[in-house]
Amino acid sequence: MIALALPVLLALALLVPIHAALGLHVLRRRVVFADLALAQLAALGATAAVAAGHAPGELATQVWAFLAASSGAVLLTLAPRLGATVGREAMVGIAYVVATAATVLVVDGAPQGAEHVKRVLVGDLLSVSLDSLPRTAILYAAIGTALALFHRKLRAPDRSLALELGFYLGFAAVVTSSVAMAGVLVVFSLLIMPAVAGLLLARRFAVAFAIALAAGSIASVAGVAAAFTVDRPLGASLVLALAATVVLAIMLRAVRGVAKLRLVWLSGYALAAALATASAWWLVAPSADQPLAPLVARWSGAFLSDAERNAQDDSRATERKWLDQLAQLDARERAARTDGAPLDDEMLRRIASFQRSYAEMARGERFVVETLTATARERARWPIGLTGLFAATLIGVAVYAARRRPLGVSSSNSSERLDSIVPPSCSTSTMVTARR
Amino acid sequence: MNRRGFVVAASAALFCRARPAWSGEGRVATVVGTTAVVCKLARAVLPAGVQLVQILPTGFDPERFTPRPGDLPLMASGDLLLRAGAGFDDWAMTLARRVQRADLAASSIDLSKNVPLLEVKGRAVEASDGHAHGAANPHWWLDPVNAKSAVASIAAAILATDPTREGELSSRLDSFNAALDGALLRWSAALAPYANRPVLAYHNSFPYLARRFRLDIAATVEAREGVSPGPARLAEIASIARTRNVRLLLVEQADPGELTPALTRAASLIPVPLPSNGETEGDSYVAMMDALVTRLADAFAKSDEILRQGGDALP
Repeated sequence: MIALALPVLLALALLVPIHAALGLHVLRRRVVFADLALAQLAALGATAAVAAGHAPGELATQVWAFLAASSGAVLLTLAPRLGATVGREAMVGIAYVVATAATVLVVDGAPQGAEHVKRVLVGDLLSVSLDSLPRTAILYAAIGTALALFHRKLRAPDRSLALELGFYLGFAAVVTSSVAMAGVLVVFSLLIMPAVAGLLLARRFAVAFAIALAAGSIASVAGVAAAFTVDRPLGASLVLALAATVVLAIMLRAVRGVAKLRLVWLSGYALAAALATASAWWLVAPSADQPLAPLVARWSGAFLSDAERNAQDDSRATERKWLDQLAQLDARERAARTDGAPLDDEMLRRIASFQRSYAEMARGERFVVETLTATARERARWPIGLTGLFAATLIGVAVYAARRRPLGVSSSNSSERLDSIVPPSCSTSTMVTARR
Repeated sequence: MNRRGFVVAASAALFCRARPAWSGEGRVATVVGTTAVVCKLARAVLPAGVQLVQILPTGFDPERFTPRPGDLPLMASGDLLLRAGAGFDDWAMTLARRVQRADLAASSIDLSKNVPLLEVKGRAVEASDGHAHGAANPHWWLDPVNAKSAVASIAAAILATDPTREGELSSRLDSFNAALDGALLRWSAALAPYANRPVLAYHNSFPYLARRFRLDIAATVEAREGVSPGPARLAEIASIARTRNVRLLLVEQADPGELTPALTRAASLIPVPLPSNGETEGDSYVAMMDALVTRLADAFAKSDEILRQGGDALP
């Protein structure tokens, strides 16, 4: 486990700081999707290199990829100078679709071409080797140092063409390297989400960067731990962990600027609305997927007769039995490949015939279970649907009444009440800014 | 005629709404094979003058194939459609219907029909998840004995349309069977020293090969076909590799598996890309299996050599 997780964590330790810093600049320039376009251009360059006979990991392939991404960097630099009506986002979109289409054409004639593009574009942090990290560290350190040296000029409103070109070339170099390592989804998330979390909670660049760094680091460790614990794809787990930091930042900002009691009211209304919608959906289409079903499974099951409930339980047990039998036959055939006398073809055909029958019978039992579940939901349509609607109305009315007359607080000491709701650190001007 | 030339000719025929001029009444003039392996098997018995067209280019992964416009005229030109079956190349049936050749789809020869299939799961409802394992494990051609049944099915299908070719067909069938019997002895001898030796497989492609040559596939990396394993699964596989002292990871040459590098590093494994979908020079099935068995035997020998030298890590 450690042999697999260690290179991933070290790679993330390199990726998080450089992407947090670049992300803050990217958000300021309003080119959020630029990294997708640059990544796709890099994939086009790498694919063309492979089609020209270079190996996927070779230096020449990476140079091809960087040159292709650099063309995108030049486009992004020049886009604002093409006229006010043509925004950078339009150029980003054009670069993305053209690069994608060109990659499809280049890859079409190459065996394993799609696999290669997938590897370049999707990447996988699990495939990162420790040997490849020093080279990446040197690249990121060089670009990080340049960002630190020029960070005031990079944030100035009137930036020179050379400085902008330098920024986008550095950005292209980082994206070319990081996308091959971690894939587009993870790189986009590392670039944007910690930076968004930082900017939600701070205005000063240094503080926003510190928050982004902390958010990215905590989410990385949490994402890796979750992926290894519950055995889910690493990239997707990281993206969700990073998204959680954004949600947390939004909540912190909301709590800082809005009275806590108001959050309780809003939550109450949201709960009432969700319950009302789910109950109405049960009334309209009881046989469809029901979000309320797991919560009221026992209650809806009570609408079956004893005989029907027994039949449903029997079918569940029988389905498990048939699937076990099928698995046992599989295991028997697998064991016979190496242990004892091999099974002859006739025996294999008999096993296959039994397996087909067991699979069909298991499907039959599953059909019975599903039909009885649908029957129970149909019968529970009015009791559960109306009860849900009634409960939603009660919650809504209770929240409304509580909002009109807060418990235990008289109308005369309203300023005292406000003081108890708003944290002392949150001044009126902060609240106004936050609301705005 | 090469593939491109054939596409041009067939496109013209499709455009004119006419069957190719060389197609005689009831007689098979053009056979369409779905994959490289199917075509290698067909070449063993096809009589002289019968054109063979391959839809899926050699080296492409058959289980992730999406037909292209050029495949439509190829399919439309066929008199007989040969497919691997068992859910592996069901796209061929869709393609045939798309070019208004429901007759070709209906009369297509499923080469897996007379083969004793492994890991049967009933009707192919699970195939709807987009991957080609559904009704059963479809990689049956990796057992050379199954290849005999498949070639016999092809010969029977051609004979049914043209009984005058019986002599030619039976002579070609006999010579294929004789060559295969000889080769099977050679392959069995080459892999006999490694019987019961545990190996890992990335994709569940090799149960037929394992059954014939008594290889012990200790575990398959993909718990579900076509779905990349999660980190915990990789750790579990690495643990199996260590506890059972597994040295080789069998992968398909057309789809080596995206996490193979991570796994080979974590568990000191040697990846062995096998040309299991016909990715070899030459037209014959025997040459394909020759290359596959040689590569596998060489990999076993190499891992033994590393063990003898006391090495634990990859060379």
